[in-house]
Amino acid sequence: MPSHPIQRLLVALDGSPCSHAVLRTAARLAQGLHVELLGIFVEDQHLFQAAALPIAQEVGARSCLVRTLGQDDIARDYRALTHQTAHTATQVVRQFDIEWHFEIRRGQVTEELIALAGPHDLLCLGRYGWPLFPHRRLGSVARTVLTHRPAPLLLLSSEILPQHPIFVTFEGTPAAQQRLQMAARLARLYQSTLTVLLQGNESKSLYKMANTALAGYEQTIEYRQVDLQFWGWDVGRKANRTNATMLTSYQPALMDANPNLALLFI
Amino acid sequence: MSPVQPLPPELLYTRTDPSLLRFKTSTDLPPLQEIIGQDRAVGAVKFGIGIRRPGYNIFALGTTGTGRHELVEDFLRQHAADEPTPSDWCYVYNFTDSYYPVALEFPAGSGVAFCRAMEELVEELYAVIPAAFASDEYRIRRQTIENTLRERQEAAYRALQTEANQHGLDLLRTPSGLVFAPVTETQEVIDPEAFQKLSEEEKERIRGHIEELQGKLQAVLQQAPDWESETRRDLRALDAETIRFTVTPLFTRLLTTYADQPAVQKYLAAVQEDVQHHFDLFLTAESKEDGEPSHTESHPPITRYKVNLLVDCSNTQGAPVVYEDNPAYGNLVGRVEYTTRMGGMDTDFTLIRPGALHRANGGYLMIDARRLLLEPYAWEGLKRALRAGQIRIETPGQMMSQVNVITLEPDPIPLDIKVALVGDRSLYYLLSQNDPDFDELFKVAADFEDVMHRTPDSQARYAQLIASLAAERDLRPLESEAVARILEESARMADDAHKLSMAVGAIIDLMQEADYWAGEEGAQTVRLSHVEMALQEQYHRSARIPERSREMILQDTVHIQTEGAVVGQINGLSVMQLGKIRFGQPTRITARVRMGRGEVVDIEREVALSGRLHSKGVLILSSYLSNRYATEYPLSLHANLVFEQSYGGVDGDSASSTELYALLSALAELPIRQALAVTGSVDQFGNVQAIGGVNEKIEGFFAVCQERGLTGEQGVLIPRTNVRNLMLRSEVVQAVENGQFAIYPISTIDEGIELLTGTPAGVADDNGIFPEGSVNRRVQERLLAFARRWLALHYPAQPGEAERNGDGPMA
Repeated sequence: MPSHPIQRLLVALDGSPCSHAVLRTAARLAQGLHVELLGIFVEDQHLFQAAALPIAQEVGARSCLVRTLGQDDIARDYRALTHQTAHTATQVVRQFDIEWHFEIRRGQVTEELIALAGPHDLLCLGRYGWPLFPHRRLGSVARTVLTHRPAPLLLLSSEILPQHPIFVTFEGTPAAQQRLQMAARLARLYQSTLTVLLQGNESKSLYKMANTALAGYEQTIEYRQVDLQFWGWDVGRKANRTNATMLTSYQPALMDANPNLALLFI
Repeated sequence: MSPVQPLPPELLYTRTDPSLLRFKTSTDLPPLQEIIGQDRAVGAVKFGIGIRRPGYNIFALGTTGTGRHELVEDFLRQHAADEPTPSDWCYVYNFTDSYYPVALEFPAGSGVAFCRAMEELVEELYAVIPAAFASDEYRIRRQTIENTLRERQEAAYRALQTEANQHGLDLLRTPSGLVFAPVTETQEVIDPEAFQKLSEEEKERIRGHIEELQGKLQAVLQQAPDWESETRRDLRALDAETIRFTVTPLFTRLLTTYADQPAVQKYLAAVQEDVQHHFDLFLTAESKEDGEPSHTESHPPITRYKVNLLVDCSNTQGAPVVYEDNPAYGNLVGRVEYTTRMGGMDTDFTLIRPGALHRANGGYLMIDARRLLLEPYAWEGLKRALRAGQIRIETPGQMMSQVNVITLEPDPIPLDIKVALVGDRSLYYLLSQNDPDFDELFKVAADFEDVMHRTPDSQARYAQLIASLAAERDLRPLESEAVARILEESARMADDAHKLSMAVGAIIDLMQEADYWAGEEGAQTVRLSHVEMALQEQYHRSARIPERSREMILQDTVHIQTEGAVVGQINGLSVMQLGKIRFGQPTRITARVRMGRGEVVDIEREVALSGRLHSKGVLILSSYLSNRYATEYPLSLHANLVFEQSYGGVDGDSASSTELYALLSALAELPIRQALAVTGSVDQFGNVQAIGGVNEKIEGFFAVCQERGLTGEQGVLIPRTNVRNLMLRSEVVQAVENGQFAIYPISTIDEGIELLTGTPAGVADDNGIFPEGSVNRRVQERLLAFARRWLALHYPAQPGEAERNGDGPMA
């Protein structure tokens, strides 16, 4: 099995509960994959600009109160938030034997992340940012990054659970081969069953290819055929029933398959 | 007066003729079907069992070893077998207030089935509830509700975003809220300089739009909690509907099974309601977190739905008969146990433990009264339960309202029970006298006889009892001679040749020991010699002290004369009880007299070495002296009576005649034959009265005489009324048969003093004057002489003064 191309884990931190879960998972992965971890906190330049306007007013997300907003307010809020994030991150990372760094940047969040991430990075993001509405599925940052996808992307809402199945879609392309290897490596790391999802109409040939690619792999492997017509729904149902913890795929359409599923896009 | 004749040998020991028993060995006898010699107690126990009224509990009183436990238990078991088996009782969780666990009653043996049904129900719930919440139907409906909220939120957000975009604005997230900012065509926030360059009109327009949008945003944000609340309500309604449809069939089945038990139905309804409210207990933590319920094989126990089967009568036939060997308070009324949790004490209804009252409820409970009274609070706890007619499990602290701890107060259980206490007579009368509740709660006294009449018929039945006891204990068959000897020993135990002892325990001991000696000899049956051996060994094992005492007499360390004659000295007899053994020994009693104020001084009493009965005896003999010899003049006597070399104290009045004889001897100055020993109490008229331990007393003196050599002059004076008690050992009887020893039955002091001094006692004439030379004349004259000297000393010239002092002058 060829070695994985990931050389660094890039974790976007914003101080939200979701980003802490992402950091814990990323730290475990970094330890397992023997790569370094870089935590990035991006202060949104747009906010500083907006706060500089004489008309800037903020509406409290919970209190609904309208208050005047200045750059000092934004700077003060960010100082508190970055301090708290750095402290929490240190506590989390201390539990793992990894090399890690924490950087604070100012700019547009998506642009900064896209600019930083290279092909050998695994970019780890929370599926939800700070909740405007608690049930909103995917943060705007995550959506934008997914669209541009400068590097393999891991989207999480909670930690990856050991010994729960890891799903991977396999359509036979070279990228799919690489994704399969990555998923197999993660399944070994988490002592999980690897479930290979094969498209219904080509499942026989795909099975042979996947089986060959995974020759010598010692963990349990399951192959499941999925219905192309109801691709997202079918994958989500199977993930629910087997308590799967992660789905590795290339299709953004699977984002809504299961809100709790970790999504790895390669 | 004709001299008293010694008793013939046949009156010294009443034999049982083995030939009259009409069997060769005890195996020839049919087992005894009845209880012998306890008609009164049997009648009382039957009455106590039969009468089903409050307070008619039984107290079986009598001497230890009379078979009270066995008899009462046998009767109770016989009666209980035909009675209905009582209910099972369970404690279950109280869903209204867990502090008060609920008691449920089930027909006998059905409690187990209910426990199993509840366990199965919980197992089923563990299966069906996660399955229901994992079903596609539930998921889709839940998803729909959640989507509705999401769509509402996103629609509102999108509408705001769109409207903002239409006005050249964007909605941005700050760390603590949201802000609208004007943006360029490339969606960049306009910089402050560019904004300043805008016309005032434009700025005002933007400000106006922002204010308007902020208002709308506020409205949306304020609505968000309501939407979420509405969603939660819808999700709860979905959960409730799902759980109701899921569990109702399971409960319907159970409710049908227990349709005729309203209390159980009420409990099941409460369980169903609780399950519907707490269905998440049946979902794993993981599945709850994920919102995806799943059933796991190893689920945590849910205590609240357990059943604590307190009383299980599934293996009981008829009414229960329980003997509580350790009647501690908790063992009697039940208790609530505790576990330690996080360093504190914790409990719940599953830790309620039954007591003997629970196990015996609907039947009978036997308790040893002494053990019951020795246990703190147990007697009060039992009375409380009997008075209230219910078992209320409380800690002693709760019962006494002394302790304020958080514990449980289980539902009281109705009590229908008959209690039989077994105890000593002294205990019964003590309770009766001192506890006002006792007579109300234990109205039936089953008074067990210590002895039964010894007749040919009763001996035959006693032999049957012996045969049954031997068979029950797997002893060797007893030959008729052995049984006859046991019967004789039973009479000796009864202290009466015409009675048999009911101390079955001691008889069993004797049989077992005889069986042992038969075994040692390799015999197939227990013979007379084995019984004799057992008795001999019994005595030998305990005879260290009597032998040591006799040895001291023989060494003259303790002075006991068995020959010659001495004035004012006599051999008295005492009996000692050491453990199981009683033995008699002679004691030298001496009397010295002189003129005095009419005092008979008992030295033992003066130094507090005598008991009250002994002191009473001495006062009686003083009265005898004054009434018989000094009715017309003052008893001007000072006499000292001593139990020589007695260091342990004396009690009882059995030596009062002996002391009187010594006193008379001293007064009459007539020596007493030391070959004789005396026992018997005396009344004010000089009648000699019965005493206890006559056999042991005779045997004690005989043993000393035997060691020194029997002369034919030696013997013992006993009260005539004690002749019926004689069951003397064979060596004594043999000596009497050989004319080497004699037992004299004495009715009066005159008979005794005549025998002891060899001088006629003398009968007073009409003037109250005794014949010249008689013992009584000598006593009379001595006392008269004392009186004259006394008066001469105290009233020399003016007798009138003496009259005023109460000591009138002699005629």
